[in-house]
Amino acid sequence: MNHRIIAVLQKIKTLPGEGRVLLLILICLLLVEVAFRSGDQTLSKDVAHLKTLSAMATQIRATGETGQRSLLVLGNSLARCAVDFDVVRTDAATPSIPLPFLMAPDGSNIANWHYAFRRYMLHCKAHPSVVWILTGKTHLFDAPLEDPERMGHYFVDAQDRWSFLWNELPDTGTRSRFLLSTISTAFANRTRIQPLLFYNCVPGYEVTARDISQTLPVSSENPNQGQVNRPTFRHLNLLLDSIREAGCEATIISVPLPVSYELPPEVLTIAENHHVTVFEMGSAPPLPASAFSDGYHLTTAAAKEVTLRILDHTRVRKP
Amino acid sequence: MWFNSFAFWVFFGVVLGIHALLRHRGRNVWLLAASYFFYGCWDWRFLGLIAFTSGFEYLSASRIYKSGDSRTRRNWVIASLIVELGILCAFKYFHFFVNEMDHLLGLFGLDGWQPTFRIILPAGISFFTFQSLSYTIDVYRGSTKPAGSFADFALYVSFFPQLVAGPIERSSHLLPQVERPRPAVTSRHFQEGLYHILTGLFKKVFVADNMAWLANHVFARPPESLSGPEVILGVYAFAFQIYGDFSGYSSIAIGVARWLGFDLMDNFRQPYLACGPQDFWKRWHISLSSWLRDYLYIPLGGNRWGRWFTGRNLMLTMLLGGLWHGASWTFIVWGGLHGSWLILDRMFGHKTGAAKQGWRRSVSILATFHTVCLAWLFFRADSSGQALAMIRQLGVPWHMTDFVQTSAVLILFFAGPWVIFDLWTERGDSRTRLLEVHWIARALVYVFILLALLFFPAPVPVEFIYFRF
Repeated sequence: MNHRIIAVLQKIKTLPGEGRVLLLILICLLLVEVAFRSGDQTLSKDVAHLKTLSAMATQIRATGETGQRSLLVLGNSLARCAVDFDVVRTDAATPSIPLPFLMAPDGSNIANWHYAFRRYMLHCKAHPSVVWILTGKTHLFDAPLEDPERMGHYFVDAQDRWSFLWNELPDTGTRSRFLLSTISTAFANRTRIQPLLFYNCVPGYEVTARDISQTLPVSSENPNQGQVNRPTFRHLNLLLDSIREAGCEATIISVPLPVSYELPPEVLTIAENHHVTVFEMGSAPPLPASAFSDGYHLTTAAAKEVTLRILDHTRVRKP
Repeated sequence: MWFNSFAFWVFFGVVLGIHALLRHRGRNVWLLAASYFFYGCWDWRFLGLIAFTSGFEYLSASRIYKSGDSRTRRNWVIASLIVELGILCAFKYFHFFVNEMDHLLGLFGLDGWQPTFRIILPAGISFFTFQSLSYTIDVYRGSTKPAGSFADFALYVSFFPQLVAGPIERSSHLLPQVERPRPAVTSRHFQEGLYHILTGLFKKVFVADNMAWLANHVFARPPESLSGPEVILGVYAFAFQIYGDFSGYSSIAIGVARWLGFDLMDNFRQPYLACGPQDFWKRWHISLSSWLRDYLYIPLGGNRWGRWFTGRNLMLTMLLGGLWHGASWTFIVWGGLHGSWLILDRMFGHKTGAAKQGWRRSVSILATFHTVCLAWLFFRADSSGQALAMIRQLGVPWHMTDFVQTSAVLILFFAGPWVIFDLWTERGDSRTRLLEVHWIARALVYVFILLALLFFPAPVPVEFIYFRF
């Protein structure tokens, strides 16, 4: 091994000018890339979850091929905490037990769900029988894209890449970041290293970061921040189109939050146009504070109750 | 189009690629077009302003050069000063003067006038007006010849790497490089360009932007809520932010220009390792300090007429240097502090930094750094009142907070490597000492820089501070 390294260095040494420096840099960066590709699932639970989506798509396709029904729960951490999968497995009506699957990347919204559904379900011919779209108050709104790296690496596939590049990204900077992330795992996950290191090694970092985020704006890149405009729902339309194309039965479910809220009328209209049912749990009288583990996400006990109500509503519970 | 944005590097790649295919004249025209495009990306409405500045200064200098009559020559140089400084005042200081006049009239019970419009500050106006002015004055003094063609002069004024934040080039240095065919870019040019670009990006993205996160937090809080250590760490963070930000920009500008075959002047030389104020101003924003020396301090009389006049000239130069940074009393106070410090330094006849060695030198460096930090406090604060209130907080009982612990570690983490690199560079003979070491060591430093850029972007993107000036 040492001989090989020495031989490589000898070869590089013969390069003219700064070429050998560039080549050594390139080799080191490639090693970093290899390290990321082999161990990126250890970066966070979210990455580990995203890495399971391809395998999940294979399972859903296999389920369909055996004639069994499958349920895809689509959302983010709200959905993950709101649906109790054990309840779904044991409490659903026997003839139509849907095998449940979860696609709930952290901090995701309708744009992520739309492209993730296309990449892992539609384009993989993995068509779940039922799709539950679990949302909070604003997750169905079109929002400025803040993380093109994550989109490029985990959500948008080759089939959608060029349309995404030109239709969704506003400038050369975000387009470059998006394209780089499609080829590099290290680049796509670059913002995960700093918090991983600092939250674990720097005393008081968590409190300081929270304090600073309250004093300073999160991003100065979006010039429209702070403007109150009527929300738009282009991605919701597109997601429901894709779900219809996949032949799935869909329900939009608003997850209970500490304060009651209603989905905007546009959502109801779009859902009706796509023959999708809407279950507004968010507009019901709010659950007690004890139902929320951190003031936002539901506790395990509350999730059981919420799941039973969803099953009741979607009429797949045991009689 | 920030230097640390992907858009800039795409733009620069296109510029460099086409530049390589052209001959000298074509290259200049191409660079001029690219420079106007670059400036137009900030605000296309001010393209007319930069074209006007170039045209007027070109005309003034050629009239000065051609005229044998000293009166006509003087009239043209005065016209040039009035037009350039008039433009600067109109865009940069109009609202400041109107507000101050309003306050002054208010003291006498009179109603002032407040404009119903806002004047937008064109990016880099202070840089390109000073660069243009120096050309006309140099032609007047006979130290430089006027440009042979308007296109060459327009490129000298608008050359995109240094257009919006310097270094403020002199016509005697940059103009000949524009006019004469430039030698082909060699591997040494490439090496130097790479060094400047990577170190510049490191200073901007890794050091400055991460320091801004801490400094902005401290300066955004009410002073009375801060503890003494929080004030000190906030000012340290700002000191490294402004150094990394501005010297990072200058480094990238020098590197980018190097790859195009140009040699721009150094703007920073390890300023926080200075011993005393004179040494500091030989290392910090060198292009501005030497401009102020040559076009303001020396014409005022410099140190020729005794101690009191020297003091007056120093103070005037530093006050105007402060005002150059922006229309605010905090900048004037900052300039005043530096002026006072320079006067005191001259009065008590301190030895130069080079004469000090060992612990004396270390103590002098630390004392200089902390005096510079004191002045930065006024520079960064929204008002002198805020700065004074923050200084008062140093006197209240000190206590450790989470912010103190975190920011101390983060300052060491982000600024520490650069301080070590500056110390190492300072000990060598060459300003680009890294280029003299073994190539493997250099490659490993570059890998470290690239990984730092990749994995430690600032939580909040920060614009270049000096673009506002």
